[in-house]
Order: sequence, then C-alpha cells, then structure tokens
Amino acid sequence: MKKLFALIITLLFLLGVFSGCANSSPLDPRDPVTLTMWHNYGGDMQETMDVLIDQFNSTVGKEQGIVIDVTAISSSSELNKSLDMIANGDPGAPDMPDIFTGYPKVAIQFYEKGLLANFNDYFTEAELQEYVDAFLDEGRLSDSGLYVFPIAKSTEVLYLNQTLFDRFADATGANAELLSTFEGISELSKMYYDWTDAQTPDTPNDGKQFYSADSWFNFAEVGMVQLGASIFEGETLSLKGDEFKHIFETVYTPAVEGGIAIYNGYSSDLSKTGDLVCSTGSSAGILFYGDTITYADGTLETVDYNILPYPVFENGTKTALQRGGGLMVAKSDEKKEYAACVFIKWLTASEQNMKFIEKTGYLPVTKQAFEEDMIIHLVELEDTRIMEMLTAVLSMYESYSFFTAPNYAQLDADSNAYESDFKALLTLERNNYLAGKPISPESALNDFIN
Amino acid sequence: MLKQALTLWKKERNIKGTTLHRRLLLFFLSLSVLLILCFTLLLTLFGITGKGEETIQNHMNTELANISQTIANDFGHISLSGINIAEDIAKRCDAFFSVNQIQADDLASHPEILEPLLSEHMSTLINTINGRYCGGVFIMLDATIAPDAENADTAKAGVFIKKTQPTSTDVVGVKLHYLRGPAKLARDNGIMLLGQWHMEYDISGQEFFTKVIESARENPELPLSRLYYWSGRVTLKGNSEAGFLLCVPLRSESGTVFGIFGIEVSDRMFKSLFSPEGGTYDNIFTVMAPACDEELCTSDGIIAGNYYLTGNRLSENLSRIGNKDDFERFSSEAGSYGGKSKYIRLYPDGSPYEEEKWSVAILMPQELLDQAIKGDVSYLIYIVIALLIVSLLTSVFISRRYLRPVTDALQSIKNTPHEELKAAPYLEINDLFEFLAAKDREHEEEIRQKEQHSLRIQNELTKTQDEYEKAQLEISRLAYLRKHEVDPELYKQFLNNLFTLTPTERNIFNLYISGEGAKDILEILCIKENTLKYHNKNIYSKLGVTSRKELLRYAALMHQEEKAGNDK
Repeated sequence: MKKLFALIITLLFLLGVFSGCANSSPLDPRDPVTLTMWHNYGGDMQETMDVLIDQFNSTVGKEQGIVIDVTAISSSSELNKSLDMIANGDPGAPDMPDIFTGYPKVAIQFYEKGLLANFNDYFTEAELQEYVDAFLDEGRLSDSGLYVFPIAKSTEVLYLNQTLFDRFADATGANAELLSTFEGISELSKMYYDWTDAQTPDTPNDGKQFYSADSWFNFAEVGMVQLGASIFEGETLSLKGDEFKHIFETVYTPAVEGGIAIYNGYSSDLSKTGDLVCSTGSSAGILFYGDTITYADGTLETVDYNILPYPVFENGTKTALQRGGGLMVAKSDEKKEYAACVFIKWLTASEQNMKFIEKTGYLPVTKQAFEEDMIIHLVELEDTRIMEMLTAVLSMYESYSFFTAPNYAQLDADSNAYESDFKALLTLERNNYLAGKPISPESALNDFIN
Repeated sequence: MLKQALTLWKKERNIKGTTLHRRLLLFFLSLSVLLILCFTLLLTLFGITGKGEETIQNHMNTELANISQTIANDFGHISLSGINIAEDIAKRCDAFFSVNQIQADDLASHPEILEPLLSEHMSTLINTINGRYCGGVFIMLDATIAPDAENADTAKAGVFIKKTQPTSTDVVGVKLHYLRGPAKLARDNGIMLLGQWHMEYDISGQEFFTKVIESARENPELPLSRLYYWSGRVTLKGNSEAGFLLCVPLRSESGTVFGIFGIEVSDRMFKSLFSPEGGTYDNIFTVMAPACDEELCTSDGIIAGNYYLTGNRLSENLSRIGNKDDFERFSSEAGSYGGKSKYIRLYPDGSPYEEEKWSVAILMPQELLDQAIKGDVSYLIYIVIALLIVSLLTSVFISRRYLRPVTDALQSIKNTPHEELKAAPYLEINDLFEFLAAKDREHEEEIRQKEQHSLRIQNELTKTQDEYEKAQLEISRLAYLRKHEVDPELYKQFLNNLFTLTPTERNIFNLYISGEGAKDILEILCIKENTLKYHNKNIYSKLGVTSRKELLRYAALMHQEEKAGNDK
C-alpha cells in the first residue's frame, strides 16, 4: 500500500511539474498579461525604447506571457502632470499605467497613498547588489522600500555649440576657459549679447543669448552645494544667505540684459535655431541638439557640439547633479507586479541597458555595465555625439561629487514654483529693462525670496 | 523479454494469489477508467472539446464586424472633420492672400509670407488636435521658405504638431510637440520642439503629397469631399512614429491647390482604439491596410493587438493563399496568418481614389488559429487527469473502508474465539461468525464424544489386559500345578510322539490347543464326526492320553515351557 501511495504522490508531483503548478511564477504564457507603460523616452530615444520593448515582447514576454503596451510617451514634466492628476484623483485623470517613468519626488505622493509596488518584494538581495548602490538609494523611500527602480541615469553637463563659440571667440577674443565657471559664463553672456547686438547697429537690443539652463532650480540647488551651502532646510527651500545671493546675481544681470535666455522649454530648442551658444542640461539630452542649425530663412548650417563638464561657481567644489528618474510599478495584483519586475530586470540587465545607453547617452545602472561594459563599448559607438558625452561624463565621475536632491512630498511643488517664479521675475525684469525702467538685483532678490 | 516477464508475473501471481484489497481496487479503477473514457468519448463526439471552430468563427466575425464598423465610422468622421477644417483654412488663406495682395498660385514665390501665413492657423491646428483623438495635425504648403535652395523641389513649408497621448482629449496633462514648422511659431505657442524637429518637410520618396496635390489639380470640378486621401502607413522623414495621414487639399476660391491639411492616425492611436478584445484568444490582432484581390498591403498598414510583432506592422505584404476551414489564409516570407477580412470604403463614389480598396482583417498566426479551430483540449486533458486522480484516491479510500471490516473480521477469526467474535457491520460476516461458532460447538461435542469413547476403550483395554494378565497368571498357576501333577514319563512320551501325528491329526491337535471345540473343528475341517472320532482315537493313542482334557493339560504345559524358553 505504501508503494501505491508513493506512486500517487509521484504522479501528483509530475502532474504538478507538467502543468506548471510547481513553478513559482504566477505568469501563464497562454494567458498573457498586458501592462500599460508610460515613459519619457521620446524623440530619437523612442525608437530605441520601442525596439527594446518589441524585443522583450517577442522573446521573454512571449515565453512568459507578458505584453508591454506603451500608451503614452511624453516629457517627464508632462507625465508628471498626468501622474499628479492620477495621484490626486482629479476628475478626468487618465487610468494609472502599470509601469511609468518618473522621479522619486513624484513617487512620494503615490507611495504615501499606497499606490506603488515595492521592488524589494520581487528582487533578491543578490539581484539588487548588481546595481550601482547610489542609484538604488535614490529610489528608496521612508520605509527603506525600493519604489523607483533605476533604469538609466544622467548628470548635467555644459553643451557648447563649438562652431558658434569659435566664431564669437575669433571675433572678440573670448576665452574658452571662462566656460568652466558660472561667473565666467555670465561674463561671456554679456559679451556675446553685446557682440551680436552690435552686428545690427540699426536695430538696438536684438543681441542673441549665450547661455541658458534647462532647470534654474537645479542650477540653484547644485550651485548652493558647490558653494558649501544647501537650498534645503528640512523640507522647505531656504533662499537666504550670501551663497544664494551670489547665485541669483550671477544670472540676474546677464539675463536682464539679454545674454542669458529665460525660456519655457528645453535649451535644445533654442540651440537648433542658433539662438543659444551653450546651455546646461541633462547629459541624456544630447540627441535633442542635433548637428545643424536651422535659421529662420530656412538655411541649414552644420555645427559641432562640444560636451564640457558642468561649470562650477568660483571657489566652489566640483559638484554636479545626479539625475534621471526610474521606473515605478503601480500596486495591483501579484501577477502584474511580478510581470512588471520581469520586464524591468530584463530591461536593466547589462546587455539591454548598454543598448539603451549606446543610443541615448544615458548612464547604465548595473555595476557590470557602469564599471566595465560602458568603457569597453565606448570606442565602438557609432554616434560620436554619444561617445563624446559618455567620455565627458566618465571624466566627471572621476573628479566631481554628485548631489542627489532629498526626497520629500513637497519637493516637486517647491521646485516647480521656484522655476516658474524665477522665470517670471527675470522676464519681468528684462521687460522693465527694455522699457527703460530702473532695475535692481537686490530688490529683485527680495521680491523673489518673499 | 516482455512476454517472458509477463508470463513470470502471471505465474508468480498464481502462486502467491492476490489480496482482496488489490483486487477490489483494480475493479474500482477499471470501472472509473471506463467511465472517464466514456465521458471523454461523449465530449469528443459532441464536439465539446474546447472553444472550437464555431466559437472562433463567431468571435472573429463579431470582432471584424465591430472593428471594421468602428474604423469606417471613425475614419469617416475624421475625413469629414478634415474637409471642414481644410475649407476653413483655405478661406482664411484666401483672406490672407487678399490682404497681402498676392495670388494663391504665386505663393511659392513669396517665402517671406509663409511663416505669417502658418501663424494664422496655429490656433486652428491646436484646437483641432486638442479636441479629438489623433496623433497629430499638419499643414503642408506647396512652397518652401528657401526656393533657391538645392532641395527646393522636395522641401515643403508647413507645420506638424504631434500629440503625446493621441486618445486623450484632456488639455491638462497632454502636451503638444512640434515636429515641423518655423521654430518661432512653436515658441510663441509654448509648444516644445521634438528632437526630430525640422523647419520644413522633406517629401523625397514620399508620394502622398504630390499625389493629393496633382489629383486635386486634375479634378478641379470635384468638391473636397471627393478629393481627400488616406495615405498608407507613413513615417515622415526623421520622425520616430508612423501613421495613416488624412490629406485634404487646400484649394483657394480661384481653384488653386496650394497645399494640404491633414490629420494623423498614429500607430499608438490605432493600437489604442482598434485592438481586438484579447481576453478570449491570445495573439489576435487587427490589420488595416490597402488591399487588392490577391494581397493585403500590410507593409503600408498598421496592426493593433497583443501579438508579439515588432512595431505596429507586418513588414511584408500578405498574399491570399486561399480559404481553409472558412478562414482566409495569408502568407508572406515572414509567416502565415489566418482569419477574416473585410473591405471598407474610405472614399465616396466619384472620388478619384474610389478604386483604391482598403481592408480590415482580424488575423492570428496560422498555427495558433489552427489550434484554436481544433479547440483547446488542454483543459479537457486536465479534467480527465484530475478525474483519474480523484478516482484513484476514491478507489483506494473506498476499497480500504469497504474491506476493513472484512480484514478485521478475518484477523479476529484468527485471533479471537469464535464465540467471542464481535458483531460486524455486514450480515454475511455475522452469519459467518454464527456458522463458525456452531461449527466450533459441533466440533467440540465431537471431540468430547471421541474423548469419552477413547476413555471407554482405554478402560476396556485396561480391563482386558487385567483379565488377560489374570488369565496368564491362572494359566501359569495351572501349568505349574499340572506340571507337578503330570507324570513326567507320560509327558515326555507326549512330547516325543507329537512328531508321529499325521498332518490331519496335527491340525486337529492344533485346533484343540487353540481352544476350538469338536463342533468347531468339524466345521473348520469339514469332516464328519466319526472321522473326528477316528482321528481323536489315533491322536490319543499316539500321545498316550485318554481324554481331551488330558491332551489339553499336556499341551498347556508344553506351551508354558515354550514361552518360558522364549523369555529366557
């Protein structure tokens, strides 16, 4: 009888194995789970992401029963607005996607409402150890859970239209070394505006802008760190102190006089039309710059871009922002969360991560890719722009400290408010300047702080 | 080898026999398997083996009807909207031309007015894109801002605004991107330039613009409602997303065709709106593509669904290779597909494109379709396996439960006196117990009687032996007495003359010694009395005795002496 029972148990075990019951995966290839995804890898990066997602769907996804369905591709700020609506339960808010890209500051509001899956539940400790620790730490929230998974990271660099700058330097003797400090850039901005304005003597105040920053908030928060201070005081912004005053004034005068662009968009937009010489922005924005300038009369000029390390305020420490969001997974059922994590593991594995890096200029997130694969593949890159970018960023990683903004619920709102208020103030001051009204950096700073 | 093993097993089984439980289990299992096989056979005979052909036929027919109708309606509405907007844009262009004192057909020679002209229509484009499902809206003018440039023939001024969430009509949270057009217009309207932004279109290698313009110019009498055109899947140069483009000619009051207005149905929009319901069948997808009798031009089409295809397209056209199981079959080098298709009309009668056919198809990879037609028998297999397991377990359980009283009874028969056997749940067993108890009682009675009989026999034997011993003692005593009473000389003569007896006399002598009487001897030897008397006379004479009593006395003495001699 014992033999009979042993036979039954063996039979049941074999049945379990063959029917998939013995597999811990909740997925079933015959009943695929479809995951909606929003990401911000648009433009030239979209094709790379599309290819990767198609590759996943037709290989691992097909084997395991996962279909990634991208339902929105937009800028991170735009996605943030939609995600805000979802998190706040606004009427007309779209359905929450299963996977979406975003920054930790966005994650907090979802986290506080229990809407995010914790990656710690789906990744083993050994798996997590394969990723760069600092990148993982960015995605950990107050309960030490990992809610934002790094997919690709970036820092900020100085994009320089070398063609335009050389033309400017040839004519004025502008010193390229000034580009290493913000004070130097401020000085060059004035010079450039004056030089371009002087080219059309009949039309006053039509000079061109030299510099802009994609994020004036990033400019200030990193500048404060460079100068040994902090823009954060607990979970509020602190705009007091000589350090902030110096940062403000460094921008104020050239911005009001026209040498620095205050623009509601990415600097690359201005660069494409030759309306800017240099800008600070994400290292992952390289593909948005192109290699031509399209002038208003339709003529095209091929130009060279140079990628320079992030400038530093005089006497400051070399510090740059570590940026780049990650992927978040909506809390749902185990099947969807598990499927999402299968996708994320695949996407961030060194092989796929490097494909993404090679086409976009982002930094990889696994130790293997970051410390070894990237350097090996650097010389083989087809896109010289990305090769130059990664070379510059790697050199920065050797000599710079990297700053990561603290995560707190109001950070997103605070940074947005800072950005819009700063631009509004400087635009107003510029208009006052053009209208011949008196302007004062001190009073403007007071207005801004208050 | 197998035969030998089987023979050996049978032989072994016959020798050892089998247990009740094993035999009952085997019967149960045989019955269960038979019932399950009958159940499976019935399901198979009645076609209840899965979703089956009829189910997928119904599913595909329903999906095709719904999706093709939705596509026809949606594309119809987009076409109608496009016509209205194009008429509005053309009127405002006429007004602009009038203000700037130029003719529409002279637009190409006035590049300086292109940006202001386009600027006039930015709000129309933004309102259009915000208010409807679409991937983008665009204007393409048959003019370039740099007419003297080398690529002037293929450069076209215009604006293309893309929408990041094509199926959203929310203004908040949905951003517009600028793919083509003067950068200033984008900045003035707060629209971000895409990475692939260029100021003008490059139409080299893309025929739709020329086709629409020329067709409109060749058919000046036709209204715009007959001149709109739907391009196949187009990826504008440098763009990363493809789509179908509705192209409506921009025609001035004077009849000059100077550009087109269009609305894009992008890949993602198509996928969002026209995917088949994927819960019933995996890997089913919609294809919309230009078509002819022999093939579906899927390289110019878009697909929507959950099938794992790279991009929203099939890179090669699909040739019709016939019908099988009432499903159309298509093939290309990349793979074979099957499903249902239907022609849809995108153009009204009288349109120059009225002959251009479009088809909507609901397809599946051929092997998956064939599987679906056969039905999903996997769940039936699981049911059968589950039934088998349940049968096995039930058989084991029931047979054990059923046989336990029997085995217990058998065990108790071995170990317990039958009178003390406890009542079992089965009457037959109780009858057996009673029968065994009765048998026991009979047996015990028999034994008791046999024991009594044996005891009696023993007693008789003992008594007989006692009597025998007494007799022997008496004989010995008598012999002793006789010996001492008998004349030794006569006894010696007696012994010596014994050998003189004839055989008949010897027989008669022996019979006397053995205790036979005269009558007995007469019967035994079948002789007459006189003969006996004659022999007696001779015997007596030879042995020197005068009577039978004396004869017997000498004989007893002789016997006594012989016995004594033997004992020594």
